[in-house]
Amino acid sequence: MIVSQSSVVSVTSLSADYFVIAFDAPQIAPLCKPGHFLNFRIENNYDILLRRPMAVFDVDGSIVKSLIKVVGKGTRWLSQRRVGDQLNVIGPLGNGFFDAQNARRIFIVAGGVGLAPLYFYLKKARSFSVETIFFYGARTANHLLFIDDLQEFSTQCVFITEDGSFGEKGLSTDILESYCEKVNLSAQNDIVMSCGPNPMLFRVAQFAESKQIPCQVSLESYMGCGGGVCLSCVIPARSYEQDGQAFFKLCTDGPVIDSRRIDMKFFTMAH
Amino acid sequence: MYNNDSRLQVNKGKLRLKNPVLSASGTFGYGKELESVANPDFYGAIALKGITVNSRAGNTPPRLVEVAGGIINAIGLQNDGVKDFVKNKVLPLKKYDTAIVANINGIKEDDYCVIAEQLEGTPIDYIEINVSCPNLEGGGVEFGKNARSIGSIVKKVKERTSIPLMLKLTPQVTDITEMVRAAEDNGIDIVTLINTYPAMAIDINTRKPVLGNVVGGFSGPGVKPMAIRLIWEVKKVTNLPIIGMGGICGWQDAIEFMLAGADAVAVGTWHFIDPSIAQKINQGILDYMNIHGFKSVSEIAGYTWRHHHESKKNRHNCCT
Ligand SMILES: Cc1cc2nc3c(=O)[nH]c(=O)nc-3n(C[C@H](O)[C@H](O)[C@H](O)COP(=O)(O)OP(=O)(O)OC[C@H]3O[C@@H](n4cnc5c(N)ncnc54)[C@H](O)[C@@H]3O)c2cc1C
Ligand SMILES: Cc1cc2nc3c(=O)[nH]c(=O)nc-3n(C[C@H](O)[C@H](O)[C@H](O)COP(=O)(O)O)c2cc1C
Ligand code: FES
Repeated sequence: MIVSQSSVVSVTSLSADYFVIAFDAPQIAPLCKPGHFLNFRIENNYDILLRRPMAVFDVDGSIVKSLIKVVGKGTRWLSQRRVGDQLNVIGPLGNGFFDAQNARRIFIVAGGVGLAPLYFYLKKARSFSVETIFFYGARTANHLLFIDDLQEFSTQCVFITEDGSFGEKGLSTDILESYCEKVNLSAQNDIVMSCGPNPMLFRVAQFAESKQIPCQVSLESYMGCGGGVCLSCVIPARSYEQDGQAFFKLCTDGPVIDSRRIDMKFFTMAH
Repeated sequence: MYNNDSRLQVNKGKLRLKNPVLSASGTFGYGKELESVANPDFYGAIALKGITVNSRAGNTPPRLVEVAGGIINAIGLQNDGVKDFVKNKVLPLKKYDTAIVANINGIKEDDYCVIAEQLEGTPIDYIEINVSCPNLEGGGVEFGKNARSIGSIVKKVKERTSIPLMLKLTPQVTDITEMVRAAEDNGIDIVTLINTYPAMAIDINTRKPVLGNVVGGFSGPGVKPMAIRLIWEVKKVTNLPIIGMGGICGWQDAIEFMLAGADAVAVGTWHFIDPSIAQKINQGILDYMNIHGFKSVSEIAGYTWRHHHESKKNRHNCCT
């Protein structure tokens, strides 16, 4: 965990509400693994106090990037940064996707801005010999990002839009399930990784568990400190016996968690 | 290192600190979590997350929400109980050059005694009796609103331990001086204030309370003026060491608390925004001392209070 005062290198708008912010953080960059997150200070007086957590989207030398969707004041403030502005960032935080180098095939399921940590994972996964099947769903064609990169980095990439304006039409979970019906799944060789809206994660986790395939999900919860001291980010644990406690701290035990450790009621709780 | 500058030392009654900056309970975990950015060595003392006799799962999430001027939290005192605390949390802190404060909580009055007894013989330097937690069913803040309960808890705990005692006060009382008197009469060594204000937020889209526990405690910059006023009130009735907190976001706030009467200060919520705040406050206090000609922090503590009351006395004299 490092506190870095970093210069903004670029802010690239991708669509009406998505952008990538890149900043120079030579101390943070080499430590970042896929699934790690950053905590951005929003310096606009007392209007916004808490830092805003964002996944590491990419690392390029000493440059660290986040892919951000504008949803409120903090993300809007970040989208308005200019090249050369100073950003106070803490990172890398949390536990990333865990070792899948022994797997033969990884099914990666990304929904919306959940693309961010999985893009980074997919890019890194090229260095070990594993088959990657990337399912990426969004509302419409306009909401699909980095199509070329994803095609290049993955063994196979399936795009899904709710309105059918690009790729398959429907929900990514349906497409994942029908795809998997046509292949032989194996608990030893296959792994599922996913990040996106909770209803999607819920179905992905249920599906993987029904097939007894390990499933790693990257979750979100409301974070106070991002560093394990406030106990605000907790999510309910499925097995008290195994985990010894009723809740995990998502900021330090996650944000990537083995789906079998999560009490499924988490996905339907208010956040 | 400026955190160890002798001008920052606090020596008042039982309060002996190498510098006047503490972490507030519940915002610094068990001391080690933020080590790489907020080393416990930077602090005069670290107050650890509140503990109870038995482990507690804590409240249903969401447990925290940002509002104008601060945050509302309803953690619900999630902790693994005093036995685990003594076995696993305290010993690793011995290596740090800082005082350690155990924040203890009870649903029944006797709970405080049970915990205090188990802390005897551990490296704990101070026990902070928390009678102000708004997130504890029964006990907690209910004790803190009742001078008789305060007196009785302090007396009982005092009989069970030789560790110096702090009392953490709630702002949610009509007359805080009554609570301080009751505590002092029964042997409290130090008072700490304030804990959070009871508060609530509603999501206007779902039309439901935001927090899983519905209500929680408000902290952060918005509470500072109210906290300063309470320090001022407490100073009127006691000469005990006072640790002030509530909305401290930088060294200027720390100085303000000290001028009002605090001998030391604690940072809570702002750790989440700037975990390296302790060093900055100590450095800021030293700079302030250089500019304004103070030789030790004890000269700052209560400065405004003393001068205000002296000049008032002088005014009275010249009129009569
Ligand atoms: C581990 C993690 C990784 C994330 N990665 C990304 C990412 O890569 N890209 C991206 O666009 N978004 C990501 N998010 C979500 C992002 O943090 C929120 O969208 C952002 O905080 C909203 O801030 P705001 O001020 O714009 O919105 P606000 O109007 O303040 O809030 C809108 C919503 O954002 C969420 N939110 C607000 N404050 C916090 C907080 N302190 N902690 C957690 N959630 C909060 C709440 O659900 C809230 O209802 C991630 C969240 C987490 C927990
Ligand atoms: C997330 C959180 C958890 C807290 N937990 C405790 C606790 O366990 N015991 C306690 O005495 N105070 C607790 N507090 C109160 C703080 O110690 C402090 O009194 C209060 O937050 C005011 O200071 P601040 O405005 O600097 O945060 C907690 C506060 C927060 C924000
Ligand atoms: S956000 Fe504070 S413990 Fe996780």
